[in-house]
Amino acid sequence: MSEEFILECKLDQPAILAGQSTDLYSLVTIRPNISKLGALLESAGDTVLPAHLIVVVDVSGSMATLIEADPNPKVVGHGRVDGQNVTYIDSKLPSRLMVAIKVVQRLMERMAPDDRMTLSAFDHEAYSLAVNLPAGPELRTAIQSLGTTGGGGTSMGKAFQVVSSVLGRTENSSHTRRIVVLTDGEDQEPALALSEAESLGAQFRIPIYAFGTGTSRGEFLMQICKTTLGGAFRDIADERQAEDCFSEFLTTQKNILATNVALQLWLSPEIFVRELYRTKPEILFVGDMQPDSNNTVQFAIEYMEKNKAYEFLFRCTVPAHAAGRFRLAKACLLYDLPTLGLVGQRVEANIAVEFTADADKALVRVGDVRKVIGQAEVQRQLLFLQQKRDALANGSATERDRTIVARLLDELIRRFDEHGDQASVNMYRNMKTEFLDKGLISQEMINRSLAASSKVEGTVAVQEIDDF
Amino acid sequence: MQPLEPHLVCCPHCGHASRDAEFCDACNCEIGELSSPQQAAPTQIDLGDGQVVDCSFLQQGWPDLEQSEPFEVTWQKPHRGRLHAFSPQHWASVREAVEERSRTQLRALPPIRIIPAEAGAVVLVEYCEGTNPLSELNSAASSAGTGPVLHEIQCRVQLYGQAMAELHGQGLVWLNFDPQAVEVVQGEARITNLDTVLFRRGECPSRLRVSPRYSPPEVCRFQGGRIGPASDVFHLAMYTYYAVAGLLPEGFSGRGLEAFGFRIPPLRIYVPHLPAGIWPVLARGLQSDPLLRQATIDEFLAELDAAIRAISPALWVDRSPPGSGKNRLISPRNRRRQNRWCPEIGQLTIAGAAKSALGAVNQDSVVVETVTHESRRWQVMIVADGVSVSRIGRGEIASQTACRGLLEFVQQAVATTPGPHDWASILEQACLQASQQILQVAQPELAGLRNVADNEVMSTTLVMGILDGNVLHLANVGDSRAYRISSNGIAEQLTVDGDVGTSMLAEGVPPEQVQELGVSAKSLRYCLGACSQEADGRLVCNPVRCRPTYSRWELGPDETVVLCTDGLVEEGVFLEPEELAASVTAGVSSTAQQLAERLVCEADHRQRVPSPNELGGFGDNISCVILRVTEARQTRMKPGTVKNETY
Repeated sequence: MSEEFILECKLDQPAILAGQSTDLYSLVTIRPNISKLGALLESAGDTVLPAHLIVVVDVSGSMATLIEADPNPKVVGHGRVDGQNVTYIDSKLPSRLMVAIKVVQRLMERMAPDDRMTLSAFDHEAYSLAVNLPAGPELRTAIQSLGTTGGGGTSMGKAFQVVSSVLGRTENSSHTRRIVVLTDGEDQEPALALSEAESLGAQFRIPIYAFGTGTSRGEFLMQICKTTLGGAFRDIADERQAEDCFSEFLTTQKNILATNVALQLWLSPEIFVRELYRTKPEILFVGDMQPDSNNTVQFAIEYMEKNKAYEFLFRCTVPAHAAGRFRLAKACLLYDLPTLGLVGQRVEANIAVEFTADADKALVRVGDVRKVIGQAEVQRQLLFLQQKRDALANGSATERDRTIVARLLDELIRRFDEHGDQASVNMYRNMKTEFLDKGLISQEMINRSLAASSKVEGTVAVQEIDDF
Repeated sequence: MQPLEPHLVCCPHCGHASRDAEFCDACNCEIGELSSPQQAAPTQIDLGDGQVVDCSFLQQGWPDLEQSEPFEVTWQKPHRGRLHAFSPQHWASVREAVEERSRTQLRALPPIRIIPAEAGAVVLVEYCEGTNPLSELNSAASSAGTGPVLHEIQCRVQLYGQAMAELHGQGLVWLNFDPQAVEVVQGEARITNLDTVLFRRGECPSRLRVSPRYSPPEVCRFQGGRIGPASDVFHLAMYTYYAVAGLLPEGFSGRGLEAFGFRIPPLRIYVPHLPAGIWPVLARGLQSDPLLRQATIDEFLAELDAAIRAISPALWVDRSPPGSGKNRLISPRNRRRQNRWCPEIGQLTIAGAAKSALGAVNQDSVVVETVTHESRRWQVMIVADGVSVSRIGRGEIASQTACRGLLEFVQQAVATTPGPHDWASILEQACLQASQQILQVAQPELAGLRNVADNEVMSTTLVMGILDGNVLHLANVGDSRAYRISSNGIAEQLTVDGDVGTSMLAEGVPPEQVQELGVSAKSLRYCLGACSQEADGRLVCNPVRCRPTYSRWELGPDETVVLCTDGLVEEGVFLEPEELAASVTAGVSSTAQQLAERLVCEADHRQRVPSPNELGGFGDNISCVILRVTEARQTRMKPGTVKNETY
């Protein structure tokens, strides 16, 4: 049996009172086996896999907006962009597009000789600017051309179609491949974007990193990035954050250890299967699991990085049983380890609960799982809040919806207050004040809270030495 | 039969070959235990001096790792005790902790004796003479049916509190609090579920038995850094709550505190006649955030003691109104009124910014009147909130009809019946008559209409107060409320909402089930104008749904009572009770009328006028009556006072 990774399964409640049906949370943790991979985990250079960076940049008209508000703007004119009235100003602050060019440029500068980049842009059309190019003048020119491309609406799906076609033609299986998308507005064809992202996930198993700024919708970008479980969502508020996000994107890609990673869950047909979350390295609400006819569900993770734990939480309802152990699921991790020449490896672990007649024993709870449940639930509540926010914004909200929003915000304030997380308390208090004053919550506020909800408590973001 | 491949096992249940050696791939039955083989355990323990404890119960081997209950043992009579047995593997993992426990000598912890046995160990706790398990008292109280008196509860709470305080002095907490796990030895409580483990403040073990009835949020969430004496304050406050509510030993029905987010229902729902002052102490101890609770057990006990002393030296339990199935605490206090009392009353009702912007009328009604008969005077205060959704009639007509009818009934009652007046009965009859009057007013509109449902006729909520000296007689129907703001600035709701959620809680429905109803739980169950349909389709007054909840309150000189509609105070929407208390406290130098205006203004600021996003705006009618009672000899007239006469 493979031992490069440890697959650990824990239940929030290891024992259930016999004869009772219960909702259970299972936490599946994958971590590198230090005793087996020790040297590999510490080594650098020759163990780094070459990277293929697939960069997709929004070049719609709204990308000309400043990346953050200028307190002292000099107004030079007025006009209309994307059907909205705009004011043209002269400012020392860069536009979103200028920032995008800068961060992609910086990405190129950090590419190793065998790394490659594919660059696509989109407004309501897609533009293929570079295909599988190494760092160099040709790629530099392509990046600079972002500044003179587009200017229309926003249709991310069109760009994904171009990426699909490029990937279909490109053969570099030794490279790790991930997509990074930067967008600033509401997509005019969200269904197309989602279906194309799903197709990228299914066909090429490529994780998507979705970075939003401006009026982009965090909840939509989270849908985009969960087409494989290796994706991530970020909300960018200023130039510094944009640089950090792109830098982290490359750093983590160069940190990849295992490829073709998938988590397979066999779920007992006796249990009622509910929702799944990825809870590490970042929290992502995935949604209800849909087992196939073999009671199995498989999630593509695609890559695992060195020294990083991956964790998945799922909920199910276990029916009543007599005293004894009951296997509710079996987790199986599939992976390749290219640096060791290992292909098609698997690690398995059973997830079993004990039915007991001892009422006291059934009261035992496991701290590691309980802590994760609380964090994961916040994101689900925020996605629910987004639905209500949309109803408020389009005037379809009822009195009942407004009461629900007020109570939900109170609940979030209370939750973070109890955790002593003052920054989050302030964020939700501001949201509630805005809601009570205007009857609406801004999309920017929801985006910020969604991005915050994806961070795992106690984790430290990867930071490059040249960031200081 | 072909032999199995080496990596396959044969399932003893279905006979299929399975790759998985633990559970069968085909039938999912357990194939074999992965745990290590059972090791032999001792069948007797030598204590020295010729004393031997019979351990024949260990014949089958060491107990399970998670075994929680110790074995009851006796040896050389009269020696009795409990024995915890640890297998060699288990002992290796707990030895350090048990030895630390053995070294910790406190009055609250019985001394333990560790005896090595067969590479494992047993821990023996010997009972002292006269040991009395407190569990008997708790179960006896609950089985008595009428519930214990409050001072008895307080005695038990103090016993627990003393034990907890001693633990806290050593940096320990009673993390696995269980009120049954206590024995009383010479008047002191000793904890019986800390024989082999101790819990330090600021720490939480990775696995823990979490009590669904008692564990506070920080324990359920394993937030070690937040665990401390305040966690035990929560335990003790919860125990007190259950004891007063008559919910011992089971606590709330359902899945426990966590299932409903630790939003503990107001105690008054279970004990409608609970004297004022108790619930605020418990509510503070039951805060989700440990920093907001009383910091120490002593502080909690002192607050509880002060609250009990303030109401009466003795409180007895009586039967609740028929049909409620709950106990009530009543105060037999009949303090002689030595002073004359001077009420100061302010009142205001407005449509509110949102409704005004839509041109809607104010459906609330407020009445403040002095009723006199011979030499006696009573102050009558009524706040009614007409229900806005009705097919027959209108909310404002219902509330005005109710106010008029109630006032007339009271005037007539005091004029025709000699005192002392049975206000509970008068208010109940007044509400029934007002309800009938509302239906009568609706009759012309009902005539000729078919298929009118009973909830389509106009109705109103009500909170009504009759001030007699410094005694306030309260009646409420529906969700209009009365709050008492104490001299130390704490708001306590004196009324119980007559909505669906509250009624379900009082009937014993698990709080999480009520919470799942969401805003539907706020639907009115009781209101004036409530009717039901006869077999022939006629609508008649429903006397049950318009019956008020009556309570009687003796007011102190620095107290303020606020009667209001849900447009003034509604949690999460308009003013919070804490904000109400803060404003009342800040307005101590204002007149009652100025205070009423300020409160209404503050609530009005929470409303939103109609906008493109919110065509109907967001708001409600706002009404309140402010009542302060001062002793006449201390009273001076304040400008703007609506009524100011001595009684």
